[in-house]
Amino acid sequence: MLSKGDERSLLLRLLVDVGEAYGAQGFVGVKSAHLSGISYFSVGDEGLAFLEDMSVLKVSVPTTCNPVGFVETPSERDKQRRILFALKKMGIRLTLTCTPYEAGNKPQRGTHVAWAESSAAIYANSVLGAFTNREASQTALASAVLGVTPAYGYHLERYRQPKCSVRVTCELSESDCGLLGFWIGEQGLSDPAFEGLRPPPFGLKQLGASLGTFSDAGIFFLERAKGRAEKAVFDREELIRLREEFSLPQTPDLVYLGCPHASAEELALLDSLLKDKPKIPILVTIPPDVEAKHGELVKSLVSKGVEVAEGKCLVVSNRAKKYEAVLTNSCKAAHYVFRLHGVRTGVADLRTCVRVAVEGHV
Amino acid sequence: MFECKVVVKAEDFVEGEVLYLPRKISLLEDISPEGELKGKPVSGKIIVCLGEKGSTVGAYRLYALSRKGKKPKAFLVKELPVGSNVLVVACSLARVSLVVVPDPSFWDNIGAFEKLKIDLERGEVIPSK
Repeated sequence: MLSKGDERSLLLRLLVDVGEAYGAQGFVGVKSAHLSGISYFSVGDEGLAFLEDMSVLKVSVPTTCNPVGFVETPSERDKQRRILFALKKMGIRLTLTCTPYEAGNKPQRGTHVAWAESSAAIYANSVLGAFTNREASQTALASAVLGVTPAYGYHLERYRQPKCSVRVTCELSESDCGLLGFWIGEQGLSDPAFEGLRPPPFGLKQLGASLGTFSDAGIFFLERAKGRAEKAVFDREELIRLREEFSLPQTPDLVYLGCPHASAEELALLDSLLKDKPKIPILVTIPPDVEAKHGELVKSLVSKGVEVAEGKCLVVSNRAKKYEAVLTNSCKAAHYVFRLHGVRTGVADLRTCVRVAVEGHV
Repeated sequence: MFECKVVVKAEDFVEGEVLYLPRKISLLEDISPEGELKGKPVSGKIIVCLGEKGSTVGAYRLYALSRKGKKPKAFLVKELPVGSNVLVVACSLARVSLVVVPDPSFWDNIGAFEKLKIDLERGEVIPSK
């Protein structure tokens, strides 16, 4: 427990430490913040205490937050409720989504923000043209309260440059874009410029999520890199190797979609693909905002036997341990469900995931 | 002796056994809630790795270990990313020293270093067997 008055100083100290570590010349004002680290599964009792200590403060810029885990026990439920209460007390909007840009927190091109949740930060830099570093949960909170962030990294134009150039010579599905992000990390590359990449619908979300999971990249570019950036080629041979590596050799007992959270467009595609009730359960996680605005779509999916969970994330849930094998179109989800819960996982594109769920086998 | 850049200085001098991860670390995945890395306790060790990657939630893992008295003595990395601050924040919150050693000859010989002394006042790392 901190003494009264220490909380603001601690957050300022954090920003100063980070600024000094990275040689920031000063601070830049932020228009919004987005918090990760709000599920009890991720932060534990110590994180809960930290957030409750901080709840005497108020945010000074619009601030959104990540989803929470599915809670399994009364104790978990109580502690998760306390975290959300602390956030609400600080004035944070409980958007409960890892895609804040699809839930009313979409920054204008060129604006500075402080976003944790690596997939969202990378998407903001690369697709939306906003300026953010990959903030730790606590510095995103510090910026939310203080309204500033140290001016370093992706807040400066000179660091928003490709570090490598990757020529993509094959067609990719949305889940293949996740494999491409994995491959960047595997090769030890960062901040890539892609030449020849024709991203399919929802592919860039998967690419950003994988870069956030498997590398330290904070931005990607969809144009050829100028100058002497390191060069690499991602071809069909590599793609087939990775598809094999991420394949699931057994029938899954869950098909998981919505990591990062599914948009209304992704739900509409799922709805159109799903002609019959699935034999294998399908779980899709979405922002509450999408449920509120597209209730009919959600109802249609539910009527077809799909479990639609708003504001939730399977990755940060002990519920994941109940499954023997999970098939997903997200490399990020596949990786974390395996690493954090020890569950076998595999990756396939959305169409294949739906086919497997309906037919009942891989 | 190798020069280091001091990023977080929790103590003036640190000495400890090396726990080496030959890649970038993801605090959330690589360090268990019980405080183990590769099945070995991190408590009192100097964690040596290439840098950081992965979840922005990871700083809570180190923070929790510090509250339980199970934190490592220091992190030594080859580089910090351009714009990801999870390891810096984790070390700052948990009061764990963090240094950067870019010298390739350190990394060429890392397998031979069982213990390290880090003089954070002078910015020096001294290996020992």
